[in-house]
Amino acid sequence: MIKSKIRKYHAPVWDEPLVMDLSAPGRRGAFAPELEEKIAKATSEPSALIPASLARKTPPSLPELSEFEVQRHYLHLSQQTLGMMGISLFGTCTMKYNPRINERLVYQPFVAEMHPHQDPETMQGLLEIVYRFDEILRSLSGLDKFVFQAGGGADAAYTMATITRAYHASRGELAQRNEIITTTQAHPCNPATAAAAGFKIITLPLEEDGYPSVEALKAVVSERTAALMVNNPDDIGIYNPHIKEWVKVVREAGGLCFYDHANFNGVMTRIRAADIGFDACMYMLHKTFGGLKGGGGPAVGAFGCNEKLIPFLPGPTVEKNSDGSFYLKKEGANSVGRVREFFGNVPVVIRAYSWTRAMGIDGLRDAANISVLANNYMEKRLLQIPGVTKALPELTQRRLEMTRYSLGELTAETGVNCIDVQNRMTDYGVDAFWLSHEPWFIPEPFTPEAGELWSIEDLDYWIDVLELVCNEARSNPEMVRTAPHNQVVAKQGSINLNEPENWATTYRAYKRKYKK
Amino acid sequence: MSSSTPLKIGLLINPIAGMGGRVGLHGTDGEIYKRALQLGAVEESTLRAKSSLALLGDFKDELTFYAVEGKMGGDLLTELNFSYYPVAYQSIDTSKEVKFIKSSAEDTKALATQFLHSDLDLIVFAGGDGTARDIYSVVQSKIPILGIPAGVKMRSGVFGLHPENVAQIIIQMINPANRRSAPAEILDRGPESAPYSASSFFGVALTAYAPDLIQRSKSTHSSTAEIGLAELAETFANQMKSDRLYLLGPGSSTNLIAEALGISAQPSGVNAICNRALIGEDLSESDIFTLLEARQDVQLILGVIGGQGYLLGRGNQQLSGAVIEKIGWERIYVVASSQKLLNLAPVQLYIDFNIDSASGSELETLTPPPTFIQVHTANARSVVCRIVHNVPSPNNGKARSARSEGRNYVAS
Amino acid sequence: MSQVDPQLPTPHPFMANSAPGSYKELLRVAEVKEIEEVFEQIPKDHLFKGEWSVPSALKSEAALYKHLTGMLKKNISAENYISFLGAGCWQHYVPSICDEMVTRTEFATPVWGTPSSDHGRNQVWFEFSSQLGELVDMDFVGLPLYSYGTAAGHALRMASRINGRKKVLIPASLDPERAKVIYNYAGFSELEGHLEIIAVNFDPATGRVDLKDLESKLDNTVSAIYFENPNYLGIFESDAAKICALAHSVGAEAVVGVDPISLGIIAPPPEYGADIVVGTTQPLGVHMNAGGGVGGFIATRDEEKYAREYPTLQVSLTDTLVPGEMAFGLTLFEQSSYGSREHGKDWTGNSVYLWAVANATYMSLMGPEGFKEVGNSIIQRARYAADQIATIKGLKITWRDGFFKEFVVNFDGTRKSVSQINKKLLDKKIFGGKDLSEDFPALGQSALFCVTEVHSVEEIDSLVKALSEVCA
Repeated sequence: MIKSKIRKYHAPVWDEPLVMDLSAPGRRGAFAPELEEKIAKATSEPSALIPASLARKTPPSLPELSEFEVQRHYLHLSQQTLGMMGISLFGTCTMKYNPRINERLVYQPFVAEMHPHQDPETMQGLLEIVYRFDEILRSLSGLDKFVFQAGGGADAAYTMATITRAYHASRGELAQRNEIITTTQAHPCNPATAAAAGFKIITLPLEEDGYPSVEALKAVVSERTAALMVNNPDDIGIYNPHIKEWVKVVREAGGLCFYDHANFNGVMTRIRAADIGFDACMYMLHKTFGGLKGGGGPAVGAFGCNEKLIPFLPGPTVEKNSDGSFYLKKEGANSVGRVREFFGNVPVVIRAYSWTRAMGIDGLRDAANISVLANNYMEKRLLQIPGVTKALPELTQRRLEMTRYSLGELTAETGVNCIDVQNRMTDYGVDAFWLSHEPWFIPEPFTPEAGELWSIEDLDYWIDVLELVCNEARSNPEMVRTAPHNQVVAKQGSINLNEPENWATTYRAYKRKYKK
Repeated sequence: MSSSTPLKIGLLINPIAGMGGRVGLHGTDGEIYKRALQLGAVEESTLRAKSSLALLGDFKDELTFYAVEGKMGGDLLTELNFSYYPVAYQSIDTSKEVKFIKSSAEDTKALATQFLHSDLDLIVFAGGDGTARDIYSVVQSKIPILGIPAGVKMRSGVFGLHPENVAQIIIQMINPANRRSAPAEILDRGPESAPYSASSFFGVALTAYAPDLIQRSKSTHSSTAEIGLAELAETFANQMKSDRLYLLGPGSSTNLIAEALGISAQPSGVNAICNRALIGEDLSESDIFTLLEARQDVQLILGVIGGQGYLLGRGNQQLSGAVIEKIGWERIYVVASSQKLLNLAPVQLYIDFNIDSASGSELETLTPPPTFIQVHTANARSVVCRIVHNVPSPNNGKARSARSEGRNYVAS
Repeated sequence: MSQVDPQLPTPHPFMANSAPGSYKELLRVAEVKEIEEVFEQIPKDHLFKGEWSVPSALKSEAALYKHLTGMLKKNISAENYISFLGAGCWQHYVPSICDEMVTRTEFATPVWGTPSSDHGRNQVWFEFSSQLGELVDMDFVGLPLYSYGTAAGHALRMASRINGRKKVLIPASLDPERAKVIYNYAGFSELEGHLEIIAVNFDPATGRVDLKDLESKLDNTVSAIYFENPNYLGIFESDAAKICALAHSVGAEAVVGVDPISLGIIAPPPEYGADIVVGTTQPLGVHMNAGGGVGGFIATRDEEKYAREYPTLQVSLTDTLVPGEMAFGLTLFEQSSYGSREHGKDWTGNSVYLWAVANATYMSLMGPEGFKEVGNSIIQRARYAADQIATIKGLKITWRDGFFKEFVVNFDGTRKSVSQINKKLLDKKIFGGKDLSEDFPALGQSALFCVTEVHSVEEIDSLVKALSEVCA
């Protein structure tokens, strides 16, 4: 039953041309500082300073616009981005409030204009925040050290894969231990980064209890096992209660265990990676810890590990002197070196520290409680909508901060699929819901995550819009299939972008292929 | 349990469907049927239909059958004590021994045409893709169709996973609230003698809505995962041991190995390779035994019937339980595209040796398969799958029953 | 303190449902009596029972601001002092509009969206790739990567997938930060996919790739030659065309790293034969952020051979259901790790997509003239600085010619270490150049100084004055 007043929403439509098509010859948007006469007099012309073989002959055909035109163009484009302006319950991404205070702070020179090679003496405030946040994550995980070099969750998974490599190599066992075990429910970045690091990948599919059996794990664990990379709970909302035994089986066989804590929000202040037995874990500061997402980074996959793995961490690490000051410690001989230059997306660490301090330990607990409760609230209401079913309904225990649903029945009845529904919901100001990562074994999946940010009224609105769209799917399926109708542009057309004659990732390719 | 409106089912058995499997033929249309009989094929489809319909004994009052007298349905219903409305169609040959007939397709289509006028809720048929396609060509999406798997290959999305599942679906549909249908692709192989890998799409039929009990249609598009599989085949081909006998089970996945060796073999049959040469093509069960007698070092490469999850018992009936016993489970190497494999729900592999068939009595003495088997999806990439089978063993059917019982229709 | 119901959360500005009424309504509808019920899946023995060492909440923004600025104000930034640090992270001027765009909540906070709902952001991404494509003269450009080094690492792995070879040549002059990333991406010989890395010496006389050494290490087992223009030591590889030709002579890919802010005046790499171009995006409108501003890119010709090996995501211009309307959809998603897990081409994840907004804005603001000007401004200022420093007794500019914004200053004549000199410069409110003495012992006590358009003549002169004082 629809409870909310459905808004008469329409996206802003500026019909904004490509910036290249706004160009007028000779217009200027920015000047470089004029060369002082003293320098000009003392120095040769630039053409004399550039090796002749390397001088640019044709200027790049970049657009020429006035400063205001550039500003207005990109402002229009920002307005044509729905994102968090409406309601976004994008599953696994834990959509949070990104406190504005953080933007106020990190664009000031004391963060923005800091150089990573500065003398640590001049970076004390910054290093202190990084160190203090390391301490907080150590407490939340029970592990012994966190580093922030990884530029996202996938990079942290990659960090694990490379640490696994370095660890077994240091023991002379790498040639033998070349298998990493993961599950179909682990995020694709786990098998993908492990494969990129050179490991063989063994994937366990979930079984009747909603996760792979210990039996299946035991069937593949051996002296070849290098590591286990898993998440828990998964993004269907299911917690593997045998995870301690999993970790035990793998560790006894000599493998390392990595906890992808992408879905930490619902279990924070309850579960600690170290207590379960994991050697390492990863938190996403741009998700669980309130750092912003930026449409896909800059992000931080905070990588934490136990004492055993500290020697293999990428460097440099932030450490504390006995006098209370902070320094950057160079990595040791066994370190993996770098997974990315420098010591991390520092502004994201500052945002995460700031968010965590604003929340406090009680706030973290409340956030976990609210997000899991809100998911259960949504489940009660969503399952009343005809056409919506729950993935693995035979598993009746309450799901954690996410539940995967299926619109398979709606599709069977109306031909309207989950992507059509996703598109149509944006017509009411609801940003695209998340479907599922690969593999898609639940038909027509969708996975909302309520989190602790959104009000009960927001959640109701989201649910009501879904119900409304399901009704529309029955009364006017064609309208839903051709949605959106109130968005910036219509539904993507039928051009197959995977064919070389069709794709155009740049303006020049577009001109060549489409403007003959 | 009674219902005011009985479920009206049209039953159609294609008595010659599936006869080719064990004798190494692909389907049983036209001339192939005659060869099948010569090679000693048995009428699998009637046996399969029986194992399904026998489970409906308690629901006679809720079901109304329409069928034609004789081998295409009437005989079996009578044998199982079901009454039925005879469909007014007499031109079919219903004599005890099928003499045959121009083709089974014409009879199927003629009966389907009669069903169109009977106001049915559902057509249940026993057969394979060819039978599904023939029925679909007449009824289109006017009546839902549900197949008892009994052909050589069942790629279309209208077949129950097992004959027993078809009975489950029928029982569920007795409740009028559960009489719901879903679209399903009809796939069949292309023109006469074209290999199955050239199989094509014929249209979208309706079937019963039971996503866990009906196998999905076998998908066909290529992808990074499939490129990975081709690379695996190449690696496998490059590392083949000399003098070892490699038996390639049917399917496009295993055929990639033959392709990597530059061998053109019938991909829908079992082929034998030794020292990088084809030494036997499209082998029957007895051909395989002959080859196995002569050699010690053997490896069997199996694919997975994409979208369905069959390892043995579908499309490769010549690899009977006795053949597998002779080869040994540990000498089976399974290859499949991870995309197809991981889109199975659940991700497990089925073995369906037909217990009712001639050699069935021996099955109880066979070594049970392992609980899990590694399926190779690309170089250095694998998925570990539980095996669900009908060979007696402690784990028999555990996973399957847990999943299918729990996942029912949503009560309205 | 007022009575607090332990069953209820404490109201918090970041959590609407922490209000008692909302929370109770959630409980009621979800049919939950006691919050622990919703955690029923977690076995009791998994739950942590100890004490947390996490501080309590600072719910007042004023209090939080005081706490954070209390620490951050201890920092001394490149605006407080004059900085001559570069080495992979450079101080360029960031136009105000770049900051305005990346702090717009619409761009800063979303995650993904659809081609129609997040059309504006997708268009920015397309304009990022398009404008970068003009700068580097390539017509296939992916969305950004984490950094210059990761872009190079991925590009070398692309090259290896393309030609199946497992050996790459890199310059010995490479930035140790980037080199460590590339070595990490190259893997271990015990495992699959390992790339053997061979470093090619640089000519001590010129700072450029030693062509003889390169030729001696080159054969038809080499997958790619990687070099940078300008290189880490600031020098232009003026033999770039020769290096690319050598790569092609053995069937190897020429992978070239660039600093795109130089490309208003410097030839784009394809002009001298590059097949794959990588580089940094940080100079294009992104603050240094203590290293958190770095980003990278990969660009190639629009050929299937390359396109089908990209590890990144990319947007393509496309059509919609409305004739004549344009949208931006993902292309080649299936080959990414999102689309194909371990079967994908390498891997991707969250990247630095917000910086692409700053980069696109920057390139639109600068235009062809702006890039030319900024390039000229940088190269002349750097040259002026080097020439002035060269006049100081005991100091030597290791390579006097052919550099862009960075140059090597040798202090051996002062009998002081770079470390000592930098300490003294710090006292004079100057961040001296990056100390090279540990990473490049052959260069003696040397430092890499960076001068850009932000450095005024007065600032350069004050550096010269300070240097002559501390070296005296």
